[in-house]
Amino acid sequence: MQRIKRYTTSILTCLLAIISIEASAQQVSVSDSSKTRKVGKFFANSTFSGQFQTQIQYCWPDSVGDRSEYVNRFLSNSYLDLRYTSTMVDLGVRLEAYENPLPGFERDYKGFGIPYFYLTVNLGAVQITAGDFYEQFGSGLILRTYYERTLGLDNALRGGRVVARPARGLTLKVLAGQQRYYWDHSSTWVGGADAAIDFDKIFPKLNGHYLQWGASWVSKWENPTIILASPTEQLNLPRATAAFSTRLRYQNKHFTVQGEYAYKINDPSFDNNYIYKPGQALILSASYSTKGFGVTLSAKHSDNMSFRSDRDQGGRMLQINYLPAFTYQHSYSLATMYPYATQPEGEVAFQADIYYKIPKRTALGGKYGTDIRANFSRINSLDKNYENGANSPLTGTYGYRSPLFAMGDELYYQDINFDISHRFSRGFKMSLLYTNQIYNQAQIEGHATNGNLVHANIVALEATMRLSNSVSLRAEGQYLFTKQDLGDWLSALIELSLSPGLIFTLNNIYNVGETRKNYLFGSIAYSSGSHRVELSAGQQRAGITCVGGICRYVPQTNGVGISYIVNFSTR
Amino acid sequence: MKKIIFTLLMSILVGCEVIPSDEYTQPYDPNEGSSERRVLLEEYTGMKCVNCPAAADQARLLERTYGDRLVSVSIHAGGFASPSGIFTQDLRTEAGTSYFENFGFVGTPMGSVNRTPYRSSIGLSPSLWGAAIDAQLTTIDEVEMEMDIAFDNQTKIYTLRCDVERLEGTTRTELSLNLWLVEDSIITPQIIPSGIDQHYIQRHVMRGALNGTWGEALDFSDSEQCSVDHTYSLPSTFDPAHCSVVAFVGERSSLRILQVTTAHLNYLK
Repeated sequence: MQRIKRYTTSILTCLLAIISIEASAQQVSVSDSSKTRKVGKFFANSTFSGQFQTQIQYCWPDSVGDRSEYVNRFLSNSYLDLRYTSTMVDLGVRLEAYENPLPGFERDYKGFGIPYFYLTVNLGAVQITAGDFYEQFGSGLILRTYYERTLGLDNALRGGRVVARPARGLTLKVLAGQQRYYWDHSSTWVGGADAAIDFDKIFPKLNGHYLQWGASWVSKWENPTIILASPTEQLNLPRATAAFSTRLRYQNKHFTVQGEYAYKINDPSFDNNYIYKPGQALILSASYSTKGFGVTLSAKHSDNMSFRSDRDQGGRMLQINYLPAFTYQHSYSLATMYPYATQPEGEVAFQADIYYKIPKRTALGGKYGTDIRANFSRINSLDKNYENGANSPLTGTYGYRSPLFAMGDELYYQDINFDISHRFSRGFKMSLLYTNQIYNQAQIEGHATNGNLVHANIVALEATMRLSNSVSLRAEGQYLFTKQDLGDWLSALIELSLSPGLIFTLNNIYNVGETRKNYLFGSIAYSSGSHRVELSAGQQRAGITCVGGICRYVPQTNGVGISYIVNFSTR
Repeated sequence: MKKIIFTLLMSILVGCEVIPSDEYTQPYDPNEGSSERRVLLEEYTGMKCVNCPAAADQARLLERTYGDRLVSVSIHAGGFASPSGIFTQDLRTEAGTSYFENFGFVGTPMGSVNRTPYRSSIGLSPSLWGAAIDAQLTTIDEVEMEMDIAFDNQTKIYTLRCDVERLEGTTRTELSLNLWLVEDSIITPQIIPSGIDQHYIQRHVMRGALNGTWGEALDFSDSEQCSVDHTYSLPSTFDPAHCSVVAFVGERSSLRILQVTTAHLNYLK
């Protein structure tokens, strides 16, 4: 049976590839015929588009933390997105196939099928969607359903949504559905509504000043489970939990000021130790930008705002809302070694970001100018006043009280960055990054070595050289200093680009501290038109991959891989 | 438009259930609607897992709730259980690691209740253990079993006998018997939320699978009852006062556990 399933999955993967290539090859003829065909208004401006992506990996024995489920077998994740759009219709479907999910993806994904499909009918001022859909109210504090393939995260709602624009500057949304849980859906229903008013569209005299106000409501209807407070008592869990938010944003030529407040009624859950305290979150942000200079200051208080379709769920699945991480988005591999994951129980965060471009034709700016960026972020625990003392059991109690922006003593994360980038000539550019990070490993990862706080200093130097019109070279050197966890790390990367479309990359990460292990990894990527294929081989270290504060653990791997992606469209 | 606004307001009102503070809890009867089935909670843990002590507290609460009808065993497995630094003691076992990998667990704390999916998942977070145990206790009892152990304190040899009976109504034929040696009250360092507890008490730790990782097949070809006898020697590093054997019968194909029992080594004999 297993073998049949495996072959079926393989065949499906091949079929998906063939369909994609076929559609890509036919794109010109379809396009031509569609121009000549007379179609009704319903199907006017028809476009068929899609994307096929597959990633296949083969791991050697003893390379994935002794996890035998990964070794000596082909692992693959494949996706085919198909979309048809016209003036009035938007129809989409996504096929997913996981022969054996890639390392780091939960085994629950194994299999294949169509987890995502939708039909949207556009009736002018009203848009109706049936099926699976993604939606975000404001910045997502009470609702954000989204798809992040690299994390294996998909919390799409399956149900219906109506978006109406009854008057100029006014947008109303109403929705209901159940969230995706691997190949299944949660039994909890989620419903919500959002109203947004763009005052600058209603009052044209506000020319150059943009003012938007929005308000949202989201509720979930969930069957209670048995959660014990004592051997003879269970929790009286709410069947309906609501959250509300309001937001305001003002922007002119140089300034942007925005704020959003969210409130959630009692929602005892695994994330909050089953307390009945309401949750709240406040995000404030102000920025100023002009040519060559920009500054952004932001602050966040989130307290007990984890909001899921399943109160007993941990990890990344079935999250209804999204709590953004107020940290710098690093791109260098050693700077992302200790990424911050938003703490669902609550945190107070501050971030400042300054950008300045030293003008051209100055002593420091040189011929092309110099870009300088400084960034600071700090995230602390909440200052909590426990009703029954910090050491007494929380389950089945109100929990604690915490005023807005009252910081606790425990540091979760601090990041100080200086990034300078200078182009010396048309063909030569260098960048230097210095980062100082303090990372509460015990809090974020649930374990720690040589102290709960990892103090890391990272230096990264990057040079990009254009050797000729068709050859360019990028070299990267990084060093991470720390006395905690596994000690120091060293990384070196070299990337040779031969246009058109061929890139050779060789990267080695070496643990100078505890393990003294090399992770040598190489790849060859080729792009042509809408096709891209990449072959890779080597070792990759275990680590945490994060996107916007949502993280996934990826085990160590040693093997070979191939990935292919193609986009196609009739337009 | 008025109808839409009215419907929306009603939905918002219906979507709010604020529980008064004096109604946060309600009575719970662990024996309501239950059968004679006993339940095995496998609690996957590690000394470097900061959330595992809270999971152990949850297991203890469940033991107090369900008494003899719940057998709970800690299995040290996964990355947080690997020895390093001050965590020198290796409480992992070959069988425990096999179970952890076989069920596709990634992190700890994690638990399984009778290796039976609850809400379509075998791996359960601690908060779900109670609900999963409650569900198992109300399912039909398919197997009954008893175990006796005789321990010789001089030779450290113990002999055990398991009597297993397939009960009327069960359709499961391929059953296996699994025997685990479990040691209680092992003192090790443990990461806790406030730092490291140097003298943490690790409770009911699985120390090995006595008759193989996946146990031995039971033979019901002659009757609905069968007996299994075994003799083992207790390693000298183990304290017999803290040792017990956990025996359980499971279905070989699905690995679901149908009945479990436990007995301490009677070291006074």
